[in-house]
Amino acid sequence: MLTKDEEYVLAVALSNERIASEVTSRIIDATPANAAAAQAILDVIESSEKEEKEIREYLIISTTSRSTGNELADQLELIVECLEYQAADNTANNAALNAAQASLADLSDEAREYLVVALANRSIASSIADKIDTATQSAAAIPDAI
Amino acid sequence: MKKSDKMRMLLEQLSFKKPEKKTKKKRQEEKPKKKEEKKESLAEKVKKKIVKKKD
Repeated sequence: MLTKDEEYVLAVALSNERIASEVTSRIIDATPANAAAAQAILDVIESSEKEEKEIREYLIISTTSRSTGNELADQLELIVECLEYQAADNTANNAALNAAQASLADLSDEAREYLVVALANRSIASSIADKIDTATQSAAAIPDAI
Repeated sequence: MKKSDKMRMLLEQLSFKKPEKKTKKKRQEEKPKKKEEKKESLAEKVKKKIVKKKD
């Protein structure tokens, strides 16, 4: 998860403390041990379509790049989606979980560069990008329901 | 309380299986490999063309 300093820099770049908090709460750089842990995380995130759309718009505007904003928002949404499947703990969701996991990917070099420019801080931008990559890897490691 | 602060508190309580962190060094190590692979494939293509000409 992002440190408070990283979250602050992100909030400045996004010009919105609440959205920075929303983004930060989605960067879970570890795989929950079980369905209950995943549900506990989801209870805090309280994701909604409206909120996800808002996050996407802020990311597009702050990075001044539609493709980069979409790339970041896609990964954050996929992380939440995988957590939802883990929390549901239902074998009927395994195919959907695997499809979502297949869409998870490390951030592109282009997205990383846009983040550096948006945050005006290379080390913090790189650290945040690394943590997003770790979060996607953690979501990719969520096991199928048995 | 901010959502991120709530999450920090929760994550301290939960147990996780932490994956290996991908460092900048690791990413840099992966990049040259891809370039080498491309060069090899190009070299192979050239070889194939040369063989075709001899035939």
